[in-house]
Amino acid sequence: MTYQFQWGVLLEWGGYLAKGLWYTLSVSFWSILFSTILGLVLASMQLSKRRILKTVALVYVDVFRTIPLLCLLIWIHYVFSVITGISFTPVQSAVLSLSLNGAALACEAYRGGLEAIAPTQHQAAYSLGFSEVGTFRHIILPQAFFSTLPAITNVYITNIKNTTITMIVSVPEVMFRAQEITVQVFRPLEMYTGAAILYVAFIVAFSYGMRMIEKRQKWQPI
Amino acid sequence: MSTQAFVKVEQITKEYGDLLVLRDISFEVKKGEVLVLCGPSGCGKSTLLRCINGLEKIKEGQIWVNGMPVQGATHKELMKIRLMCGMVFQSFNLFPHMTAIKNIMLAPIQILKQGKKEAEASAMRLLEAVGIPDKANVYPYALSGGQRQRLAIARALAMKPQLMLFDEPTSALDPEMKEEVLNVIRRLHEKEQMTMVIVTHEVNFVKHVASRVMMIQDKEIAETDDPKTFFENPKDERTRKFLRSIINVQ
Repeated sequence: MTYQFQWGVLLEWGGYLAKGLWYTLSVSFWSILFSTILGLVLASMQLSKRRILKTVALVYVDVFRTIPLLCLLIWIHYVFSVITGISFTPVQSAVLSLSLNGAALACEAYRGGLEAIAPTQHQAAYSLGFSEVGTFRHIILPQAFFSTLPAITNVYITNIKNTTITMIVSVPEVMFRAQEITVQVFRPLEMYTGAAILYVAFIVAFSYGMRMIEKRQKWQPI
Repeated sequence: MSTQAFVKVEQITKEYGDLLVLRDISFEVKKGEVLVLCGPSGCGKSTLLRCINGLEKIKEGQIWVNGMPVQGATHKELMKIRLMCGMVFQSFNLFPHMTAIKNIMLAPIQILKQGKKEAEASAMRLLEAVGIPDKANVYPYALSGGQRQRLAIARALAMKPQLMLFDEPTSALDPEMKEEVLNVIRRLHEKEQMTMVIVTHEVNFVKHVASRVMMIQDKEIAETDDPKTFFENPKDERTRKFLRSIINVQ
């Protein structure tokens, strides 16, 4: 190996790099929040008896699951503003594209969890006088929540990792900063190693948190 | 319609797609009566039960519950009808994510808008009535089959129904647990004169509790009799054959 590692640059620039985590964190947070809400709406639309709702949700998933995220991000940030005259800040474009994409993935995870609830649960709820909405809220959703957690954790982790793509529209998150520093100090291997460590630390902590939530399930399916 | 008939079923036909399940069924259930539905498996008795509270849609005919038509009912009317009909399922269908007492309290709080304390107190009374007050804070997975079914009965009773529909309440239970569930149903009949429609093949239970037994076979009513005549002197040849089969098994 001819490359001489100089880990000292990480000490020097590590703080600046780590500040990028704040952007990674906030872009992840908002896009996870929006994709969860939209994903749930889409999943319940797909399971609805009304054909129009079903079709809209199916088309949505097909469109936003298939457009590569990078393409979607560039399209929203540049093309959309040319067409409509509405322009977004880099962070807005990032949150929007990650949410649209994440919602399609979350929808599929939720649909799996919701469909796994036996139809007899619906019948029991209806026979007690619950409406469809009340059944969904009090009986189906709380049960699906836990069964969906492993799958949705994957979706969320993908979402967090996908924030790296937002460097292309200059969101100053970790990857953007790693590249920025590299250009100045010519130490790419150290900087990208530092970035990788930050991601691993963040995502390991996140998945540990999700596992803690999973463990809070006190009941067992029967 | 007669003022006394709580449920009136008039010439109903039910199909699943192209498959005819029930043909031209008519009967009445008067207040305080216990009607037992019998018949070989797959004859449509469970389906018939679920038509009464509108869980299944019928193709032709009409059903009235306390004078309210089920077929063509709006959402609101259907909910009113379902509030009058408690239902107990073969597979219990408890809510696994809630403790026993929460299973009972959910609908009274959400639907009847009872206060939490009031709902809790009456749920506790119901748990006592079905003999499992010590299981209030236990999740359904930790209950035995018989306890689960008694909890399911308590959950239905919490809505103060005027009619109880039982869909093979004991057929998923071990023999020693059947009795504890049947006793609860028996008490409902004796103490509260609850109007009930029960799908069951428990001969001894039927003999003692049923006002009438209705045999469904080949998609229609084969015969309706008081239990004594039904078991001792059935008119229909199919009923005789069916009785021989279930009594041999038991």
